Amino acid sequence: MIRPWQALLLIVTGLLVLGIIAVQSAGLSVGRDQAATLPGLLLDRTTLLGILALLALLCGMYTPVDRLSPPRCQWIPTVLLVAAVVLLVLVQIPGIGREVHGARRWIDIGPIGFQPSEVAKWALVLFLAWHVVARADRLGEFKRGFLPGAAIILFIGALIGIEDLGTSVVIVIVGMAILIAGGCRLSHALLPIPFAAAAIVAALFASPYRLDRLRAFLDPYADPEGIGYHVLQSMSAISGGGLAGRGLGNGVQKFGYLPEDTTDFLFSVICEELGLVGCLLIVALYMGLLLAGLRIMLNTTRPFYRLLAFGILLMITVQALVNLAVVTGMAPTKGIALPLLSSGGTGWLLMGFCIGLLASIDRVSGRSTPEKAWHGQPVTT
Amino acid sequence: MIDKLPLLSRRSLKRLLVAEVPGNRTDIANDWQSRRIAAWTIAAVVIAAAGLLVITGRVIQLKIAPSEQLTAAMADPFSTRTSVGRRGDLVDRNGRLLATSTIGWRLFIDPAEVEDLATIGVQIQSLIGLDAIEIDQRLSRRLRSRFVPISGILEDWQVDRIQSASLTGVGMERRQVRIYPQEQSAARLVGVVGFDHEGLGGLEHSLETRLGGTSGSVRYLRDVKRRPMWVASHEYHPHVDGAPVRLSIDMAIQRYVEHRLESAVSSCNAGGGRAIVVDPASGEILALADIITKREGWPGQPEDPLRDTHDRLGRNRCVSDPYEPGSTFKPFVWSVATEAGLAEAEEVLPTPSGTPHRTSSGRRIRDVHYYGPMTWRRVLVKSLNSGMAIVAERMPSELMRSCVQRFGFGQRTGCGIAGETAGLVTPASSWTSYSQVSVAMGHEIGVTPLQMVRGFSAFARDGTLPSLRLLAEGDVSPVEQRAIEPSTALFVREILEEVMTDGTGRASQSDQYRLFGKSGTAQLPRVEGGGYHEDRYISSFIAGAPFDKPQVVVLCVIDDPDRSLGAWYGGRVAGPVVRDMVDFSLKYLGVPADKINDEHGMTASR
Repeated sequence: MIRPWQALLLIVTGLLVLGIIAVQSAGLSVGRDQAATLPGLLLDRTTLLGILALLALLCGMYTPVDRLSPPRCQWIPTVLLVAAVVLLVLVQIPGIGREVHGARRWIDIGPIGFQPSEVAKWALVLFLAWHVVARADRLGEFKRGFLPGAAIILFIGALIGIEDLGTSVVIVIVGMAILIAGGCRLSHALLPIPFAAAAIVAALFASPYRLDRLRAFLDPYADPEGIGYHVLQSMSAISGGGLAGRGLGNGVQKFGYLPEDTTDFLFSVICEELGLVGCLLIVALYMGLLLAGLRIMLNTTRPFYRLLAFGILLMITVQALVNLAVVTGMAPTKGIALPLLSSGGTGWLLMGFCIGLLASIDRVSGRSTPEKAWHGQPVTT
Repeated sequence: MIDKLPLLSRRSLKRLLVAEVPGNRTDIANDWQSRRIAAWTIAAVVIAAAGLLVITGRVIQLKIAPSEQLTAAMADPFSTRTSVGRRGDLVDRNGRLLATSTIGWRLFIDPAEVEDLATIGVQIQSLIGLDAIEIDQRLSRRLRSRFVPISGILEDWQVDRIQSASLTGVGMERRQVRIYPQEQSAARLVGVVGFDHEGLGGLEHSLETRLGGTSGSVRYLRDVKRRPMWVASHEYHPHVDGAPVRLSIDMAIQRYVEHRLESAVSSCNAGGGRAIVVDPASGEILALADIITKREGWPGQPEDPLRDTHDRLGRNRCVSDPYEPGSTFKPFVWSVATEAGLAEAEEVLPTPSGTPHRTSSGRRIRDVHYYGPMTWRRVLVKSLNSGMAIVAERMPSELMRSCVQRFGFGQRTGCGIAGETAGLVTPASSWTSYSQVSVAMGHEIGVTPLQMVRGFSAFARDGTLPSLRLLAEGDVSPVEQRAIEPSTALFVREILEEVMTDGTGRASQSDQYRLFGKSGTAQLPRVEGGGYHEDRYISSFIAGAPFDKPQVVVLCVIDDPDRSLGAWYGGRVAGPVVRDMVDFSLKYLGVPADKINDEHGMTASR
């Protein structure tokens, strides 16, 4: 029987390979100076990043996750979180942060660029998991249990939300879910909702483009050449080619019609080229990732492992669902990439590493079993 | 359980045990927390699975049944470009261009793109001199259109100026332009093309399937900047150029024939005239002319309303309008009657010497001159109606009808000119003895000029009819049908030469070539009320030359010459025209003279 961490490795490899192929196909354009050759594609930045992401996964896999669990090593999550906050502040400073499409989200170090929000979201997951498990006995209290965690979540969410409302919403949702799953009261978690809602509405009106995206979502046909263009092109791509698809590489929409085809809207290109098969393949891979993660979580009883696994899985899942809902026209446009598929750069590496942590949990708990599984059932793996 | 795990460490064993010991405060909390996390994880996975299902459903819905709004909003990333096949050239037998196609440009405006509609007309006027008011009118009529043509084909300097000015919203459209280098020569024969370059009249119309190219198309995928990306092989349909067509017409002869016919028609104030030159050996039509003049106060004047609409349109009366040939028809009857042994050439017939002949049914047959009894041979030379009537009454009606049919009358020539008619031949059921006599004199029968030259070509050949053709293609045309025996043909040709020297063709003798021919002067039928005009005629002359190996047969028909000008007989009016046409054609074709001239200008037959 295949072990969950092996399944995880296979699924991630599958997603990355599919992602690389789809990104290469979507990236085709007319009038390139050089013809696309096989060696050229294999040595491409996307391919290299995919390989690096797998290496990052291996790194995560061999990270001694047991050393991180509370009460040990509190400094690691704390330092990571503080570093992330510093980066998030730095990126706001013109000259350090690089603007892409009018939003200052990137920091360049030499040839490598990364988004501090990527660092921050995984640092937050790790920190919250550690924090919640360490304070397990006080979580029911509002002041000493819920408030510190919530404050950190909202603080980081607000920092990210300045430039990237979509990621901010994802992080707040995942962070709150970790708090609740770890033992905070639901009623406490509902308290910040009015404030968050107010913040979102304020953000909407602060940037007209956010309002436009909302209007485009509500009625894309009102302005098909303007604000509705993006989502209409995406839906056209998905619709195009029918169930069978146009065939790999034969997509039409990627030739300038569909913006962001290699990143946020990669799913539409895959649906256009590979048809329903491509869609089902992606759904199956994500489902497999979820089930393997669930298996790993159930195989351990340690709350920290479980909560870390929960946070990582939820982070991936929420991003995936938001992205898929956006490209299928069921949610307003957000700048959320499709995990492990969209041409992501450093995002791939961090996500690979974090999934490696999941595998590491499986390895650690597998090595140290027999542990009692949930409901006292013996677990055979 | 423990023995199954030999590698169990002491530390993990302790942890396992501690977890199971109730009362340890931290571990109770841990257990409770673990379960809570697991429950939430399972809930999250179930929700995520549901979400993925919903998204799959949405994808299927978008693929199978996209909303109508979406279908309408979907950009069509394909463009179709059409290419036009070039129309084939029409050339004469020597390759002179009669019609050819080039590319021209015409101006159009896309009102949606123009920056200032109010001044665009003036701008164009100042650039290339088109009328600004007219431009504005055209624009205001079709403001919503994205394509408003505002000029005909532009001249080169206009194209250059428009190109260098590059006004937004003003463009030029490529169009094929048909050019007729021969201008008015053979204009109606060649015809004309319409605005979409399709044949409207003449050969342009009847040869449409050969001349007209098929347009091609290519459907290609384009990117968002409208750059072509690729073409599926089944979506490329190349255009096919039309084929060039070479006519049998010789423009040198055609021009001369037109010119000569025109001067003849105007000099005798005729209603019109027709002339045909054919090569009897090959059946090729070398020239074909048809003129209608405008005369006031002449009822029954030939008309063709189409010619007034366009100078290249109108019917070709050489093939469409039958006429009564009169005496030019006599050689056909004469040859058949002689060949059937109904009259000997030297047999003396009781032709009258002063009063009109009366047929057995009492019909009065008038002659122009009364010579008294004449031989059957001289009947043809002097074109005596009485003699023809006497022998016609000897002929069985079947033979007369067979004569008409053997020389191809009542049948189209099929030469390829549109609007050809078969002529008018009295059907057997209405054929009377009256018909029998009338036909022998070339009345009560309608023939087209083209049928006439085909029938007459039998004398210029070996008694067979050539199949006439307008296209210079293929080998010598196959023999169509035999009218008379070769010896009869040669014999009739000799008598027809005598017509030129000692008969009604004396005025039309050539001083270089030995012509054989026959004149005809038929009374013009009344348009209303039946019967014939007493003083209006269709005068014609038909002849071939040179004698031994005839190379041309020429027919000239003068419609309704003005009698008040003193000449109306075919031999006088049409004969010299035919002679001139024969002379010109043969000299042009390089045929040596076959008449011997001495230094005193006397001519003698060999």
